Amino acid sequence: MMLWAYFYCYQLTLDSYKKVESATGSEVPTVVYHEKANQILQANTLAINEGIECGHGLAQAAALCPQVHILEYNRDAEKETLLSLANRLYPLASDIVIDSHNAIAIRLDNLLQYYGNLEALWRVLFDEITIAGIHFYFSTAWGVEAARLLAKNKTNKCTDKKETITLLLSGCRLEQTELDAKTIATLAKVGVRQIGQLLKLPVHELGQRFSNDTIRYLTALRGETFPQYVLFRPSISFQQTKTLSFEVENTQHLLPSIKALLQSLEHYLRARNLLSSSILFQVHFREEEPLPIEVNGAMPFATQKDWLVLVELKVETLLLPEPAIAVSLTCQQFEPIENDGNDFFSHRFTTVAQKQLIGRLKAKLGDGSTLHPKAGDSHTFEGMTVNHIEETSPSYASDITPAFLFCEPMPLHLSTRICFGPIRIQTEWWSNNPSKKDYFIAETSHGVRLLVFKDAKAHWWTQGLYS
Amino acid sequence: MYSELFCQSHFSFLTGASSPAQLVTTASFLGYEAIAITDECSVAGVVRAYAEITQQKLPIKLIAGSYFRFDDSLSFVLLCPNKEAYTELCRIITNARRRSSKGEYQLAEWDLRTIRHCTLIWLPSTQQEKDAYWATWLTSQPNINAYIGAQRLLDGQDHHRFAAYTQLQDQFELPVVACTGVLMHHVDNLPLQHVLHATQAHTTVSKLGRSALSNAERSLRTISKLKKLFPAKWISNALDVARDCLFSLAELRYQYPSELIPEGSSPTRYLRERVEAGIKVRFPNGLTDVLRALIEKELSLIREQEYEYFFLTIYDIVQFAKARKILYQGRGSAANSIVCYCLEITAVDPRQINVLFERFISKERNEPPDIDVDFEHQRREEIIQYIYEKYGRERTAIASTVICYRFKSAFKDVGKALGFSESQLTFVMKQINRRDSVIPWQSQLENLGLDPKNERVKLLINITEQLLGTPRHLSQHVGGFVISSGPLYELVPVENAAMPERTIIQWDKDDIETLGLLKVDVLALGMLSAIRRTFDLLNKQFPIGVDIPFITKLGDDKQVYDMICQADTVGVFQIESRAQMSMLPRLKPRRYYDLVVQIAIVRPGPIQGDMVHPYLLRRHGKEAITYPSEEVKEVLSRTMGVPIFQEQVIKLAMVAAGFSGGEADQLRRAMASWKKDGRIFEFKEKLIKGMVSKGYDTSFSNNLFEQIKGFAGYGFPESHSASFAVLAYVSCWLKYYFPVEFYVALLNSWPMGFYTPSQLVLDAKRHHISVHAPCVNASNYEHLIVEYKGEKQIQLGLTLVKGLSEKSAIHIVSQRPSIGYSNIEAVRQLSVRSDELEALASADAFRHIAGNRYQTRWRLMNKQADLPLFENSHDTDTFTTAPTTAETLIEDYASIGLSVNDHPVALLHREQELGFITLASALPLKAHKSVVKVLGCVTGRQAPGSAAGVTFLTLEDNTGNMNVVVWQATSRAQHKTFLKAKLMQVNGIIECSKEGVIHIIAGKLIDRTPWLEKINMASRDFH
Repeated sequence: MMLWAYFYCYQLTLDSYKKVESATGSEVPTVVYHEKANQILQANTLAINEGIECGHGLAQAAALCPQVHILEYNRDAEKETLLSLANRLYPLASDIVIDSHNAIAIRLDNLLQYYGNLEALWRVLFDEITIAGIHFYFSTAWGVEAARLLAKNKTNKCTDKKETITLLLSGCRLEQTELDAKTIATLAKVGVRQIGQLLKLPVHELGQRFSNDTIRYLTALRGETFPQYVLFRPSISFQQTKTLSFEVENTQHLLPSIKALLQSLEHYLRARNLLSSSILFQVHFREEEPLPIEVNGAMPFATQKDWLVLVELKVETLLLPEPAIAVSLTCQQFEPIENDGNDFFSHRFTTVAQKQLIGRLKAKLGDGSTLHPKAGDSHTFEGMTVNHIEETSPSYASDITPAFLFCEPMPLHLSTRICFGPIRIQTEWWSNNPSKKDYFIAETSHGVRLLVFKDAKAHWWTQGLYS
Repeated sequence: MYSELFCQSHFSFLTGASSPAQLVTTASFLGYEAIAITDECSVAGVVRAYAEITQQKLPIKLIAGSYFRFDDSLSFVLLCPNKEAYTELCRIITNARRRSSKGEYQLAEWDLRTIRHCTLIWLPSTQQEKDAYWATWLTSQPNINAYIGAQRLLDGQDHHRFAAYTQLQDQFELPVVACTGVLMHHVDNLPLQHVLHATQAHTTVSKLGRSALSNAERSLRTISKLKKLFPAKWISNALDVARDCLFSLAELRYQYPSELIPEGSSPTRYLRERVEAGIKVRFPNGLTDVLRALIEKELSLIREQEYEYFFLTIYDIVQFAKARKILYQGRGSAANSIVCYCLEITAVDPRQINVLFERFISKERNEPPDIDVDFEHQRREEIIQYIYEKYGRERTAIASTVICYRFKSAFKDVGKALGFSESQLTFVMKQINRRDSVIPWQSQLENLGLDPKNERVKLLINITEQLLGTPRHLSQHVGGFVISSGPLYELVPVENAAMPERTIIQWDKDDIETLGLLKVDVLALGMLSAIRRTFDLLNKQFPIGVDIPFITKLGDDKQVYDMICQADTVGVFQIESRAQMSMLPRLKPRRYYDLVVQIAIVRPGPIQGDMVHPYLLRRHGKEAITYPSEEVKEVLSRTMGVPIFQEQVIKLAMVAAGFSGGEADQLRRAMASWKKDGRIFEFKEKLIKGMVSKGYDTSFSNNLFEQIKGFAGYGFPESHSASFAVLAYVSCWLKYYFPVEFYVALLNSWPMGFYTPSQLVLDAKRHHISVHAPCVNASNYEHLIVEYKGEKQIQLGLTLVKGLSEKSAIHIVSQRPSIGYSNIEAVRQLSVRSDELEALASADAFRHIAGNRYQTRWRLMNKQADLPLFENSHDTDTFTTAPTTAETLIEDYASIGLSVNDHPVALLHREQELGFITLASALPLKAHKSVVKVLGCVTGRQAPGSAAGVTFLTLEDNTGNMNVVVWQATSRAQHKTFLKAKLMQVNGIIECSKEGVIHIIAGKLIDRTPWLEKINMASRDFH
């Protein structure tokens, strides 16, 4: 008999949050709220004690406990957490099925020979998930469908005995099955609410009344057929960890390990004919959370040499909170090598040099250190041009934007002649910096054109220069 | 001087940020010579501006107009220099609006080509090519009198605009006029305008970016500033255009359809003729001199005010209703005049009440009279169709209702525009108690996590307050028809309503009143359907012609009033609510006029004015009936010296506080619009000072003012109460003497009234009437009276079966063999849809031919039974599952909304030992102030604004309803149970008044919903 274990992780969002929360302080009533469905999907013990139940609307929950902390439900984030769990389990069990965003199934029968018996295997899996801080309901059965049903029914039983599984299945309610809502409602209308009742009905009578999908599901539930499942494979991104031979306090001592990791990455990338412009180091400690070092190149690289220039600059400024025990390198963003395009006479080398400079500045000073001008969607002159981390081509909607705008306006002392204006700007009242100014273009006796303004107190200021 | 030719009020929804009144007042203050109100494809704001100018006697000229956007490249303003232009504008707006769905418009080039009389102010787009195209187009139209509208907005683009204006002027010889395109009366309204804009764009103010106004220049600016901004010629051109606009809304003359009057007759003569004919019906024994004099007085008033057409129009409509046997009842003081009694518009004999007919029709006040006519709600559509048919769709439309921002919508829209998260706003809105008179909502925010000192929260509060009362969109009035002699769109633009085939005019009832137009209120009233249906049932059995006059002529019936005094009034008209039922044993009505008072007294006005207790004391002889003066006696003698009705309060203001007729009228208007503008407080000091100076007690004066406030929004005049009291009495009479017929008619008229069919059936059963569930072999579509062993019983109809269409139900009934259907296949063969068969199975309507619900459904589920080969092969009875009693109860409620066999509380009594619980029927046996434990389904939670935080819970068990009073502290302390429980046990103290009114003062509230879960009823809400 095949044997599958099923883990239904019913509060992944809460579990993920709990790690952060326990680091910050005392626990408060917390719920996970699904805005579209207006439903509470997960609630911690404190919230449950306040009377909040899963399925309540936000208003009801808030009425029961006005101080309730609300987390937004994000199915994708739950899937991410589940995938990292699967990655964690993959070294322990090879046949893993990601059944939904919050449930996984693991085939056990083919692993028994490695672990000796079911109990030992079960203990290993159970402990690994528990250590990961995930709450779950579980069960085992002869197929994924049956195991899923039992787990969702909170059976929490690991057994390979057929009679026990049959008995447990019989008591399950139809709402927990994969039968569609319409079929469940139809069956409920004739008083059939449990699997046991359904399985007792003559098959030919069921066949006259229900779809083939329903019948197929029921046979799978009985273990008479086995649907095909896509097995989980770890992601194809590069991920390697190097355990340090001694505890490192001086960051420079990390470099040999980093070089080795970059060498491996170079091999990895060359083998696949890929480049990357973003890698992530993590320095691991005994107590502290791993320290990430994100390194971004202004252009994609493959070689250890190119990366090392940037990484060395990063490591120079690195402060370790405690001695490091391991370094890991993750690379998830890849780009194919493109050989066409840049001919010998183009300005390639200038562009490359510029990009290299930007890359080095970023490595040395941080990602936010280089900014590019961009047209801003604002009436204010300050907001007409904004500096943006990403490079975009600037385009201006107004023909009165000055060539240079001063960071801070300066009092106007020069004698000038107003040649254009006023432009009255009265906006941003919603911000901490409301604007109420009359702007003019003024010309000095030397023919220099200035952007000047008069503020609410009738003081005159210079804000920019026209070319 | 300056004239503003382009100005949008907040009737340009989500664009304009000031009211028409604010705009004209400010423009007048700034010394403008004229102002055009030019809302986008609308004249909705013009009347408000006109009303303000007339009322405040402002020295400013109002120009009617409208702003239009044809496409991205063309926008313009049309102004009305004369009546023809106004008619033309209304036609263009109507065409543009009628082409689009509700709230939108679409101009066609054809509309532009038809412009003959309007002045067109073209607003160039500054897109050179397109402007050239439109300039060429406009100058090629010989009939269009076009100008270039020049705007100076100080937004950095003025130089481009001015260049374009000058170039177009030179090239096409189009004169230029200065205009602003006003969107707000004052610069302070800029944040509000930004918020409205953000709401329209579904974004936040900070993300509006360059699409937002960059400054507040689109407000009303001083003339000195405008002179600096525009060339003098452009300003003088604008003045010239304004001076050419001679049209005033006062010119609008409304003509009633003339076809009502027979050829050769005159309105006056024909009305008298109809009245004289009515006298013979209504007063077969002849008229007394007093009544004759009254009729003559009323007729002469009608003649002086030229309201003959109005009365005759309503007469015509009610005659149609009468011919179709549609029950109706007129109300309103004019409706309860003796003329209306003779015209059969009302059944209220004016001898029974004292209505101030003159209040609604008088020479001093040039306002239309008030007659509302209620028709059977299930047949009102026939009346509407009659009106449409008789006068044509071009001449008939429904008045609009302006839907304004109220607290929740304002708070939400402002919050969203300021970038607060929607879930936070929803949370805060649900938590704010707007009825909390101690802590205002602004202060409550602090407890909900919004610091009122925070700048953003301050903005949220301020702009929300500003936005309250701002119009949001136009909707359809409940039944106010405007009918004209010519096409209505020549008088006012007509647009599409949300309901298909319905059109509304752009003015609401206040606007109609301002312009002196007449509207006919065709309203729907459920009780009239119920009464008519009861009459039909009775007249089938007893050929004596039971109708409303038949019952009223019988005089006050002791037994009926006994029933009323016992508050056995579930299902009757008006006096059936919880509050009314509590008052009945205390007021003890014994005659018609008592009912008039009873209906009016349980209202916010008398309650807030603290007039209920004095009235009861005086009525029961526990307090002497005294009057401070003879004038007051004249006003209050009918209500034992206590003001109850709205008219009395207004009359008191005149006799006791020295209000003039005009002031009293303003007070009445202020009462009607208190919620909107708070003008009522202007009268407080005058009223109280006036009364005190005439020797009245200060507290009495204060109470009277409170009562005036209470009437605001819920105005309840004696005339309405009088009409309602007739129906209340008639319904009580029917309930007492013919309960089976009454309940059947009531159920057949549902939805209406205060109670659900479930509660009505329970009440019928309490009156020992047997009720049978719907059945394919016994039911008709509607509910029926059936006789069993000489006893009348109720057979519920298939109409109750949720999911069964009327057509199928009627088909099943019409095809039914005389011996009934013998099996389910016989019904299946009628080609009834499968979901409808399932609905019938759910309602257990096949119980006599296919076993229990589960067995029936199992048979219906067999898909092969549909196939010809298997048609006659019936299932063997292998399926034997049967629903439990609890499941049956659940299904009863789910499928037909009630259970004729059981009640959840009765079921619980059978399932478990509940001896400690007192049933509703046993409450009267309990001693006053004794401790009692009751259990029931929570059927109502009411927290009236006048009850200072008290919530009234209604619990229902299988023997009746129980009234539970929950004090604020009790509900706060046990809020979880208070909010959640569907089935609740209340341990409390019983309070029995001498009159027999029983309340339970709640102490402990226990959520017993889990008991239902135990018997598998968790997911079902019983009501």
